[in-house]
This record gives sequence, structure tokens and C-alpha cells, in this order.
Amino acid sequence: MNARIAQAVEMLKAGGARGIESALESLTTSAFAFARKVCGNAQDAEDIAQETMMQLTRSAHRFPDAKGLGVWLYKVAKTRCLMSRRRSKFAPAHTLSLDELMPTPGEIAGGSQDAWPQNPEEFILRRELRNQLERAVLNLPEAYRLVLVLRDMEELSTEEVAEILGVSQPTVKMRLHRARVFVRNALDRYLKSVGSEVNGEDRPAV
Amino acid sequence: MKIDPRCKKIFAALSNYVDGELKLKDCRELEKHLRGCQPCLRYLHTLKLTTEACRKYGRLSTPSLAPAAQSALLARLVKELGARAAVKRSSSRAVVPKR
Repeated sequence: MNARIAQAVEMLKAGGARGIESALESLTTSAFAFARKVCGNAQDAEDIAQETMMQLTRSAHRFPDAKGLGVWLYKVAKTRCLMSRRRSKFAPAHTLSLDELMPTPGEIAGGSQDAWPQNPEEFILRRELRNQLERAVLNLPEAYRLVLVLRDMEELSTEEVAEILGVSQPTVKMRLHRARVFVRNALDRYLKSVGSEVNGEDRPAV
Repeated sequence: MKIDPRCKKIFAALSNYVDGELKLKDCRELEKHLRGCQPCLRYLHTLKLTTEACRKYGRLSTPSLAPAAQSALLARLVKELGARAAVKRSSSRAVVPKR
């Protein structure tokens, strides 16, 4: 389980009013951040975090460890994300085919590698790249988006993601690869479209 | 342009390679292919950057609830937990046999 949840569970175990409050705050942030990334809508994410946490107070005694609580928290938040799809931006559900996602050698050779940032931090620090990353994730069909957010953004293990989504570990791996390829191709298209501007002289100050 | 079947096989295994989950034999085969295939090597580099960017995004971009909503929710949660603990205490007292 990720560090934030593990730390919250330790604080819950230690007890004390301040520790319990910090743990609840940390778990609320986890539920909200996850829902925000999956739904792309702050109001939905707030509702989901509140409902998830209220449900948690009724079930907190059941979890002996961080993994049990974390899996439960993400499972409840995930179900509520799918229920809130009316207001949130959800791409149509369909299967991503690896054959369709694979670019031709010509596309790669004539590609935009020179326009790609040198390090991953730039995708966070430069607003236009961060927006493109968020947009690409939101354009993923939900089954793939959930895997990418849980595995690469929330940094859960393949086993934990499989348990949360109720699918096998090979399915998690297959969806994760297709989701990463989808996002990578979307970023590549964007970087190609802006061409030399991104790494050129007009590069904005970070 | 037609895609080389070897590139196709490598392409399907790239995420497992990035995550260090390929078997040693498959890993060696993939690295051998990458040494001679510039397009696959380029693709791997950008796929790795994408994966690392998602991880950085997850760590550094942690949105929080608005402060007022956060405080109101915490107060509700603490109250709820307190009420449940009180009910638990009173019901556990009720089952203690009288001497």
C-alpha cells in the first residue's frame, strides 16, 4: 500500500485525538485526490471523498492493516466514481487494441523525440504539459484509466489493483500497458503539434 | 509502412520491461532487439518518460478539499467515530455479568 495510507493506519493504531484526526485528514486527501484524477471534476470528487469517509467511520474497526484499509478505501471510492459518471467526464467504454495503438516505425522515426522534455518533472512543472497529461488520462476508457491511476499515480501494487477492481493480475498488466501507450501517444501528438516551440527559444520560464 | 513482427512482440512487452517484471530470458531478447532497432528504443524512452511523469504527477499533484469543506467533514467524522465508540462501550458494559 502507498506511504500515505500506511502512515494513516499507524496513526489510527496509535490512537489519541490528534493522531486520529490527522489519519482521517490523510485518508480524506487520498480519497479526494484519487476521485479527482479519475473523474476530472472537483465537485464530484468532494462528494465521493465525503461519502467514502463517512462509510469508513462505520467500518474502520474491521481493518487490521494498511493493505486491508487501503484496498477497501479505493474500492469504495472507485464504485462511487463510476456512479457519479453523469456529471464527470467519462470517455466511452471500449477496448483499446494494441495493434491500433502501435505506431509505425515511420511515425516513430519522424517523431517528436527532440521535443520531449528531458525529465519527467517538466510534465508537472509546465502547465501546458500537465494539462495534456491530465487530458490524456481523462480520455482513457474507464477500465484503463482506473488501472493507470491506481498503479502509476497512487503507486499500488499489481496485486492490490487486481483486488480493488476484481480482475486478474494479467488483466491489470495488460490494461496498464495499453493505458500507458495511449497516454504516451497523446503526449507525442501534442509535442509534435507544437514542434520546436516546446524546446526552442520561446520556452517559458519554469 | 509494414511493422516488423519482432517490433510487435517487443512493443507488447515494454511496460513489463519498464516495471522490471520480464523474465531474464525475455529481458535479454528485448535488449538485444533494442540495440539494433532505433524506433523501438525511441519508443521505450518516451514510454518510460510517460510512466515516470504519471508517478511524479501522483506524488506532487495531490489536490485537497477546500479548507472549509475539509474542516466540516473532519468534525463530522470525529463526532461519528466518538458516537460509535460510546455505543460500543455501553453495549460491552451491558453484557458483563453481575456479581
